[in-house]
Amino acid sequence: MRLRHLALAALVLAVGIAGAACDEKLSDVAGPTPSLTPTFSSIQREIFNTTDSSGRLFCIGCHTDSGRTPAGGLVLLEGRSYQALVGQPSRFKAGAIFVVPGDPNASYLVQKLESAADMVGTRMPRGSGPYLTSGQMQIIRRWIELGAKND
Amino acid sequence: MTRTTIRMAAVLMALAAAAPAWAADPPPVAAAAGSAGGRPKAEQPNEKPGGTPAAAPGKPAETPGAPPVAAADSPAAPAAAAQEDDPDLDINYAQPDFMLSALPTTLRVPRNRLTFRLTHRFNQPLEDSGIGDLWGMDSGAMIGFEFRYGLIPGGQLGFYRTSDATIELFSQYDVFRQGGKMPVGVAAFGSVEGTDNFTDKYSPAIGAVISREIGTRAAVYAHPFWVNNSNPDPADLVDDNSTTMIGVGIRLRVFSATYLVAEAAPRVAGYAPGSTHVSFGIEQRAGGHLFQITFANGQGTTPANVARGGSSANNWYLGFNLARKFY
Repeated sequence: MRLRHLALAALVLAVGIAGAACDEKLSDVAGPTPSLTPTFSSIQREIFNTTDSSGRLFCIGCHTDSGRTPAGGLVLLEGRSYQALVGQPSRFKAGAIFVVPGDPNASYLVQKLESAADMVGTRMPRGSGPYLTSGQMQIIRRWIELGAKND
Repeated sequence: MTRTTIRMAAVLMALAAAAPAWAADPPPVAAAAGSAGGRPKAEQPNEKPGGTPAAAPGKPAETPGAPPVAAADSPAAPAAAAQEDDPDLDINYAQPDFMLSALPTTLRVPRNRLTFRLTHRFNQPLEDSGIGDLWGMDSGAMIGFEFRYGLIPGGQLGFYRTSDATIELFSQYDVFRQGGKMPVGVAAFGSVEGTDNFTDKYSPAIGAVISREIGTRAAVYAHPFWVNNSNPDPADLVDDNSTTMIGVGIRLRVFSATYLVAEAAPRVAGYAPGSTHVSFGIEQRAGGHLFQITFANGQGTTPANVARGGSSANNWYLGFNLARKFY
């Protein structure tokens, strides 16, 4: 009798536990860059280096010192971008820091990508879009929230 | 992966549905159940003591001591008679319904019986409305309907859909009943809800419903629940993807068929936006019907919505629940 009770109670619990693996997928949020995750290496690969399937332009076309003056004086080439962003000031807005670990709202990188009201210059990527989607921005923001590690 | 797992959960529920064949046991005698559940003598003209409902209109009443009508020549008569003796068919005055407002009770659905429930939570907050729009009744509403079926003694499965296309599949099993050495009743609860007609954003929940009936006048409840994916965002993007809450509730019988109901669901760990879900109301039982007018600080009626809490703006909403037992 008691075993039957426990077995059925366990069955009820199993229904809930079986569903516990049903989390929303990150790729559903990431949209045109389905492999994007909140890590710096992923952001470098999927955002800085690559034009995505929506047509959003890659960053290193302008933010490079290879054969040209880097736009905004910011180099986003792999191996140099982390040091150029995290804790580093903007040349064009006094007091602005590109990436403030733990604080996406205070990070000038986010403000430039989201077109904050008090940013200087134009929204990135340059042109009339497409810009990063809200899902892509959510992932970049999460990387900063988690401490903006060089991971 | 996601949909496969959900389908597995649905299969598990289906297996639970198949369980009666091997799990069924004879229903306990009414007298024993009556002492366990604190079931009172009948207090309504159409309810008689001993747990057997009075005859429906047009149907001859049974004579005490006489054999059931069907016993004479039907092979199914013993089973039918046993079912008629099912103490779960009796009215439980302390727990007249399967829900408080949005949190479950430990009331058992009789085996092979069905119940229906309709929920309404009007969209317009009371603060923004008045007599001119009947305190929000002129606005739309979050409407839900529920079917609940008794599969085995103490075991039930249910289906609930709200007008935002959320579907909740749930099951509940009575593990311990109050009575004897057990001071409380305990039921295990499991559910999975999915948005967009169960195709997106699944939120499973497991928990226990603990009840203490106080005579025939009141019942108090605790609901330790864990709700997974209460946060709609992926786990990679959030600090807390699940919510642990301990609901508390009370149903107080103030007149023979009139009750006051209150519940709250404080979140003790995990994702906890907005404010703590709170709801209170007044309800009237009329035979197999129960009508409840409710005031809540949110429109949530599913475990995941309760876990997400009430309005952060401290808005209050008028609503009602209408329940019908088909027995």
